[in-house]
Amino acid sequence: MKNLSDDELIQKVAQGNEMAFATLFDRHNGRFYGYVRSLIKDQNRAEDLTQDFWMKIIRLAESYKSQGSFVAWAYTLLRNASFNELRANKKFDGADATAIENEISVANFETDILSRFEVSDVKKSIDQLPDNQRVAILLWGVEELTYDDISHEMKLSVSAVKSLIFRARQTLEKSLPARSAK
Amino acid sequence: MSSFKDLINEKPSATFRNKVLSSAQGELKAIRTKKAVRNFWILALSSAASLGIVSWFTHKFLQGPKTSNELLAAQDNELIEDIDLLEDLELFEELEKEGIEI
Repeated sequence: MKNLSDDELIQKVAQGNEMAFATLFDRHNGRFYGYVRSLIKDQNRAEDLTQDFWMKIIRLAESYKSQGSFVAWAYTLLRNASFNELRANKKFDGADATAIENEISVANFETDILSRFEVSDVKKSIDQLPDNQRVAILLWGVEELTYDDISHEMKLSVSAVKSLIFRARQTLEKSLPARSAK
Repeated sequence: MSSFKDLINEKPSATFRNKVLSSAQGELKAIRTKKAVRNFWILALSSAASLGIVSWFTHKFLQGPKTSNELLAAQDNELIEDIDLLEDLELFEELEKEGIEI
């Protein structure tokens, strides 16, 4: 089972195969659970949402059509569930819409931040960002969505999204040296 | 160097894993049952359809002479009924000639 691709495993899940499901779960749950946990921060709710997500995967397995990657499809489902949760708790309160035209790339961010600081410290610092900044930077860094896509998902202007990511990076730059440097 | 994606990776607890896999067992079993029932009906209906075709084929091509015999028998019966009717009419005419009204 471990040699099978995600798409092949999904096809077997659609037939009710438990081994295929367990393989898919073990292969991806770390990042899926971690993503939800990073987005909504509450551990118990993150576990509930991730469990619901896996049950949804089983129910949708038969209608799943391989158009792109399973992981991208899964991230979309997780993001929608997490956004519903955040919106229900009014965590999206509009962003600081100061126009920022500077765009930074994920690769630059990884070179600048992740090469200089411990991953666990960066993670802790991201967890402490304001909700809007944290969500924007996760959609940008983890899902690698474009500014346009993030603006659509967060229902904010593109310049507001750029502003959020720019400020998130600024906050991380300020907070990280106090934590640790490699 | 670590990537952004490494940041979010979190190993779930064994309890969480067991909880999800145990819930999944029920869902997956339901899928298997649904598929088994569907396969049963597909098999039953296709068997019935096959039997129907075989029966029709046998009746049409292998038992043809018998059917002709049956048709001949039916024609004979109709002929006998017609003769009976004619005999009745002839009897009425004779009675009328003799002035007996019915």
